[in-house]
Amino acid sequence: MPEPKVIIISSDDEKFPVDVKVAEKSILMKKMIEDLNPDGLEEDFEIPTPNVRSTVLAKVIEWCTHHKNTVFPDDDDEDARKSAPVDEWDKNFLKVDQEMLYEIILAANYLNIRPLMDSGCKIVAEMIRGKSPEELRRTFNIVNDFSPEEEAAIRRENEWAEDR
Amino acid sequence: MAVFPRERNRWKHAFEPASPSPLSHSGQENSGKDREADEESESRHRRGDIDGAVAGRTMPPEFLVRLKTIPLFQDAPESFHTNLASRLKLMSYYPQEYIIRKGEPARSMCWILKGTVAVTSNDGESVYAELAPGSFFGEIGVLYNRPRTATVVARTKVLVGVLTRDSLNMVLRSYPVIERRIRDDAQERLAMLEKENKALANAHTNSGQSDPLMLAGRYAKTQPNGAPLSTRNHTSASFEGSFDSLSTSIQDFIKVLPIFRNLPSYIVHEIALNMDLLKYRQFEYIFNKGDSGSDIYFIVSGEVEVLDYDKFSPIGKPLARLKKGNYFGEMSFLALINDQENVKRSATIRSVSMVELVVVRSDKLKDLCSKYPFIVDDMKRTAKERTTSNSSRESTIRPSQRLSIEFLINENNDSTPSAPVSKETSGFFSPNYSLNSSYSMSRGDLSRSVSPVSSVETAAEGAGSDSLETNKSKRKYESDSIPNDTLKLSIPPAKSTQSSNSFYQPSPLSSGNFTYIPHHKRMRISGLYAGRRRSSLLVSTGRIPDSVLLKVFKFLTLPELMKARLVCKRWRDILYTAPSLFNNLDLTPWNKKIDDKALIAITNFVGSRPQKIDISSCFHVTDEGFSYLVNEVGISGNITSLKMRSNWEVSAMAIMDLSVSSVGGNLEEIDLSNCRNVRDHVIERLIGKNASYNDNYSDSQSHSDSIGCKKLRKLKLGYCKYLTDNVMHYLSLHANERLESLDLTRCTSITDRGFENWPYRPFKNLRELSLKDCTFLTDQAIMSIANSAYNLEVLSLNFCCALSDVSLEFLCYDCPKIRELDLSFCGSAVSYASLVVIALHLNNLEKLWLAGCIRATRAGIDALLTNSPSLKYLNISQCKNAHFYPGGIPAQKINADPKTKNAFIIAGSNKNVIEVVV
Repeated sequence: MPEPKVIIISSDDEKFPVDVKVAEKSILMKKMIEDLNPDGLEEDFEIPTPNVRSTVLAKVIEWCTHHKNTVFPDDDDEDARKSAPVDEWDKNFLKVDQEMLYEIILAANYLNIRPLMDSGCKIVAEMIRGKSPEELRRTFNIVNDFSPEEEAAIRRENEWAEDR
Repeated sequence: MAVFPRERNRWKHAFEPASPSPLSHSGQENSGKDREADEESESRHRRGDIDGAVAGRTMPPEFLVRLKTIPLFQDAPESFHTNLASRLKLMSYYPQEYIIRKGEPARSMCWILKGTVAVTSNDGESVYAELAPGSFFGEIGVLYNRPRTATVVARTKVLVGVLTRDSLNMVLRSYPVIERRIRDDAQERLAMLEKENKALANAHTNSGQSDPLMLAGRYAKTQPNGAPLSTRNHTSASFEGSFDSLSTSIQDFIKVLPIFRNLPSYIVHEIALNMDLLKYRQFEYIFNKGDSGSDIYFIVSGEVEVLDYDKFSPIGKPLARLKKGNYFGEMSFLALINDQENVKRSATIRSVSMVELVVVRSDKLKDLCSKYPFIVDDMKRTAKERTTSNSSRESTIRPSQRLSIEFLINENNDSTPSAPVSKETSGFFSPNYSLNSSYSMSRGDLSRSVSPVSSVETAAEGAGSDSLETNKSKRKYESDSIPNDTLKLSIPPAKSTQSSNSFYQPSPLSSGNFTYIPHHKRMRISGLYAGRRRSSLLVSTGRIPDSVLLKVFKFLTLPELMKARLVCKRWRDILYTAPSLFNNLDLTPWNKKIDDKALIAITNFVGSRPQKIDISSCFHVTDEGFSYLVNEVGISGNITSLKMRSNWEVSAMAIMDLSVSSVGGNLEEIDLSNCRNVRDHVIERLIGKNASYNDNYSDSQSHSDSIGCKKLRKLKLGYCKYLTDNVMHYLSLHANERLESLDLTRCTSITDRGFENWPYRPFKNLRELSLKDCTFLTDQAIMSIANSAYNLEVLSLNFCCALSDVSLEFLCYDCPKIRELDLSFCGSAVSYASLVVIALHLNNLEKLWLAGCIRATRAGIDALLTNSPSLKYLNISQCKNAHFYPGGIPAQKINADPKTKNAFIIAGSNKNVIEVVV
């Protein structure tokens, strides 16, 4: 008998059967599986994810599958987590359009997959770092809703951080 | 002394347009200076004699009486006065002699006992104020550690009592309540002055419409209540340290207001820090009916009238007059808290006489109202009374029953021939000296003549009657008996109304300065965003969802985020409000760039979110920025850790702001290393008093609970070389139970005596202690410490050269839990015998430093390596004898890596791997 699978159901009712090991990359699903099947999985187990679209879920599962054997450092040291560079494979994996990227981050947040969320956030942070406000507005397609006076006032407060 | 340079320049600019040509001017100045310098050197000589003769002698009894009349000290116990008086040193000066000069470091404050002094500019050309006996000057310099900002010259022969900074601190130490008041007071005055300065600078830049006279009027210090002590002219507002500005502190004024009477003092302090002082000459419009705005105004002195315009009375119909203690603007404020938008003023307010107003921003007050609903009730009552009285205008005179409102309405006002404000005005306010002066000034009388100095006795009376009760009765008296006079005053001729239409744009601070959103507002905004997070998962808006932004922001640095708020309002609001951001504020990466301005900007940005603050090595920061940070962030009471190593400009007073329990109540850790102004009293204040331990000098036991950081348990005091044995004694009395970590690196003034009391007050929770470079400590101190802190785990005795092996014996027997021990350069303490004792008794020892211990031989090292069960690290660098057995027999060489100089050795019964550094 084949090993029972975890079947993840997206918001648009698409079903993704995956190995337990893959599903357990998500702490949320791991807890669910453990709590509802205290004696181990005996048959297929469905987990609905009403917040995640199928295209996004597919990407997340791709990530989980790739990293199913990766051991992530379980450190609560925020600084170490923040300063670690983004994994090369993740970098390529997350070369998607902005909207998809945000949705992956949100899904990772919902499913509690911290390494994926961190990678996603770091990539967005990289998009913000070193850019002028004008460049940022262009990058994120944002309209400047400050009056010139307001903007000047904030700029004055930022003067200390300018490179001198 | 705080005659701020900017203001003084402005003053000069305004009043000396026709001063002599710069050349001749400076020539005079130089010759004058030379002469004075000679005189001074001469007189210094004389002074020395006087010092020797008089210092230490008891004060004249009249002076003691005077001391008691200073409102600030009135509540103080007798012992305080005698204590203070006994520490005063008498100095005498001859006429024209300099007492203090601008720019000098401030080491003392002075009370005038006899004679008068003049506060002048540096060159002595402009006289800002004259001070009479009983006045004091120079206290801000002392309290806030600022250089003198004005020069004080003796006018006549002067006798002053000088109190040095050290003795002031010594006296105040025993009276925390008074100290708190002085500091609050000084802080409030500074805040006020700075606001005035800003306003002035602003007025200066766009002063097309404001003539110098007006400015003079606005900045004239009218004395709120109490009698005058000194003669002074218009710039005296900026002269700190004067008697009158202290006699009615801002706080006192707020407390007198009925509406705030029941507030706890820390709230009053908060209000005081957040309000602005405005001054108007007579017949200026404060605001007009229909203006938008909801701030509330309190009258400090002078009188305003409430006017209403309608089709019958186009020039304005007086509805009421308001006086000192009254407030106005409450109607629109009430409208605001009922969530109306675009609040409009319901009437016009115009000054009748010279008035001083205190403006409380509506957002601040709103915050307060939610906590103290009775304030709103009071306002509603007032508003209701006013509305009804307005609607029933037919009634002639309606003196209100309530104290805070006095309606003096006279319908005949319109028909009475209007006389320009005459002497009756000043007569009416005769108890109020300042109006006299403002009156004469408004007439253009700017002569800086020295008026006769009024006697101290009247001053004392005036100051004494400053209490609430007398205020009440005075007001009652006025409202009962004076109305007839008041009626004659009436409204001014229309002409003058128009001429004064260059009225003051409230304050540059009130408008346009939007960048800082008060924290409670931020919270409201944050509430708006909170509900959106989940839904944005499904809805694809095409823009970056807030919850993603929030997570991403955590990966960016502070300057990056400060820049990011420029992108759009949504980003800014998230940055301002998200409670999870900036909980750990570490500014050390930018330490060289951070000055006061930057720190204030950062504080405004992060609000009260930080719990851990690290501003170590931000050595440009002074009191201005530091106090702002502490009070603004600390208002929520969330600070748990503050590291401010090498913030050496910050004064003791500013650091002690932390001791207010609402600010530092949760502070657990503080690093004051290399803060030069830290002295005994700072630590004592921060530690506070142990409620269970009553010591002799607590005159104010009821207050002992409210002062100090009760959770403080980690102290870093390295390089605080002024700390003395008293602090160690104090710690043993008040913090022995809670202290967990103490760093006394290079506190060279601490000796064995400091630890004498320790064995009697065990420090059972003290885990870490650093006595690095405390070279004066001997075995005696270590014995006391070992006895008291028997749970020590980490101890550094680096460079404690005076110790002998006896110390180590005590440590080994009494502190068996030691894990890390640094004995570097304790040459005389480390011998074969002591190493054996360490090896045998310190079973938990993991790391040991023996660098530079020349008596350590290989025999001792072997004892350590074979007998210490937990040892993991051993440093024997610069131990030249560690490679020989006693008698010079060379030992087996330790093969160390030439780069890292370390080697790994497996030794002992447990076969530990031990890293040895050679």
